[in-house]
Amino acid sequence: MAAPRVAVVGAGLIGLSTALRIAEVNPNCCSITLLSEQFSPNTTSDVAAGMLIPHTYPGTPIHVQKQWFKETFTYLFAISNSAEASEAGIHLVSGWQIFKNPSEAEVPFWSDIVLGFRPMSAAELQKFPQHSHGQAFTTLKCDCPPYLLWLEKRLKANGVQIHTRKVADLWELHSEYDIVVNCTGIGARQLVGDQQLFPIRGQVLKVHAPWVKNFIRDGDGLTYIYPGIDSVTLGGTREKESWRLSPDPGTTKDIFDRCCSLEPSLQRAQDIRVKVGLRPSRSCVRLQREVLSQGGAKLLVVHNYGHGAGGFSVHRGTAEEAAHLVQECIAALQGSSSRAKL
Amino acid sequence: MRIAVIGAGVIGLSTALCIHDRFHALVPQLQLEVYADRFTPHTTSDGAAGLWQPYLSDHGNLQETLWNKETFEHLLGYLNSPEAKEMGLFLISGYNLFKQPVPDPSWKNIVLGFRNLTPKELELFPGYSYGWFNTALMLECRSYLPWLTNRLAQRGVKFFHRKVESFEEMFSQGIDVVINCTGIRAGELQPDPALQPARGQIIKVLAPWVKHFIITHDMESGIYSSPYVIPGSEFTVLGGIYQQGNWNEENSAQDHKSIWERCCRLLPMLQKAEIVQEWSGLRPARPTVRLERESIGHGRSRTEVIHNYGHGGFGITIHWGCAMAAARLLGNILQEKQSQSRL
Repeated sequence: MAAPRVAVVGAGLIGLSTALRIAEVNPNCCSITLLSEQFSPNTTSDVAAGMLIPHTYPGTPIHVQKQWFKETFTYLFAISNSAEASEAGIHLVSGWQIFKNPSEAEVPFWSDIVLGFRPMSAAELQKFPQHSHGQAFTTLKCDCPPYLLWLEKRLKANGVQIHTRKVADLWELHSEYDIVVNCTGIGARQLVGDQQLFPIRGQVLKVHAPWVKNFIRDGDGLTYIYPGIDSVTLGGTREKESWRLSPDPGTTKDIFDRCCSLEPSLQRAQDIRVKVGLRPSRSCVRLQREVLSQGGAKLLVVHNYGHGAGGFSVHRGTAEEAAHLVQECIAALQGSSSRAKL
Repeated sequence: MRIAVIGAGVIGLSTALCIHDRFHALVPQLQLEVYADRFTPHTTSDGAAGLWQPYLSDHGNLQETLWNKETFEHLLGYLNSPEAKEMGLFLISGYNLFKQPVPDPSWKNIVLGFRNLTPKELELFPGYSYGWFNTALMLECRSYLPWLTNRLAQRGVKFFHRKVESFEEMFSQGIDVVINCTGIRAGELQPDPALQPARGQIIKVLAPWVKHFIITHDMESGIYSSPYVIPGSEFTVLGGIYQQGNWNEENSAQDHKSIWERCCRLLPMLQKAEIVQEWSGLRPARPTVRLERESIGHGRSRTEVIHNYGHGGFGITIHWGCAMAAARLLGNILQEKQSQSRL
């Protein structure tokens, strides 16, 4: 049987990292093509700050989420410590998660994976007079576009073909490809009609404030300040079921005010750019195989979408699982082709 | 009452401001003047990265530890104010690295969130087996000195751009008290063998992905002779040179190589950083800071000098505590002059 032809649809963080992992675990045994309508800097991933602070999926066991986060953190930690770090856009950042409500300040499942996690001291909390508790830790940040561009470069080095193409229906790929990996994020709603997938609109500001070296995150998840390589991301909003991609000026002012109340020096921030992304939200990430068939023809599908607010934190872990599912598909194809020879 | 501050580095300007704050309302005839042959950005202070961090041990000098603490707390008070950015003041977290366990520093309870490094964190720094993490402050003098200058100018303090050759020169012009903040060149006004240069050289690079300071320590070769990386608001400073007795203010190619190689070994990603500038400066090192009064002359022509120099590599760290101590000494002088005039 000829080498299996794999298409990965979607060139956001999940598509790129999944395609890379497939290439890494299946060297020389299949051809991989990445198809996407959008590429960096126009993906949802480009809007996100890329902080490794996990979001909890209600529908996935905690030990699985912890494993995904651990794999992702370990992978990126190694890159951050190498000469590649600046090109890949991966860097360590320290800071604080602060709470107004003591009951919210529980120790999260990921506290032993990030570095130096501990409660904030009274002296540290003095900087935040409206908050009574906090947690200090050091984590990683993946700056986009650099990280996505670096992934694209790694894909090309691994012989992955990359094409701009809008896929309207997965079945349209059945004659050219044997296995399709669906990493279309929010696009899966229309592409495969998944009603469990819904957008949570996030608006952010990217500002020039290079003196901000620490992150600050309100435990409510709505207000955050994440310093990146060339800009600081200020956020944000969580608007369920809103598909609106255009920025809202009232929201911009509200985000700016909320962030300035946590970090007053941001009043002096320059070059404010507003971005909007639709978090592809789901109670759990859809990581599963599916077989599409019409007439006698079949198309094997691996889904890897629905990461919501937590894509960066788990991307390597879910890419790993998706790559295993692709290996299962390859084995199934080889099994059925040898049966066909009998 | 004419007071002349000699020196316009961080010590001179902050002492002048502290004095003005404290006395301008109490002593209406107070006239404050600043004399210097070098102003920002050409002072020693301008070359420093600006990290608030004392040396590892205060050698029992509790006075200096107290001045450090006063400085930190004074700056913390400005952190959430709209002035902070203009002052060049911001919080920064980072690492101090050692090759063996060391006692906690005198400043562990002054900085924020001081703790030991975890084994996982030490994996980032092969060759180092022990260390600290804490959050401290950066005060960039290329912003802070102009900020101090503006505040002083707004209050009518006069600036004179010239080299003062002697204390006598000042007194013969009618200056009543001289505040000697001349740093490394204090010896030119009055010989002081205890004051020696501790030459430093730094490389400024563009490395905006570095968000932490990293200071390594070699307990045998001494403070700041081991590589360090300090990210500022625009540039990242690479250093690790501390040469006692070297008066050379020219950049050395050998020191450049040493800094570059050792910092890139510490942080491999720096290999891709673009070099923007190189600078050498002389830390005004002294076993202790000279902060004291001295009377010059006798009887009616007795004049007063307040010395405030010899802050080594911790001038920014200690500056406000010293400024307040110098202001207190001036307060004593003013009180004495007042009671004298009543006699």
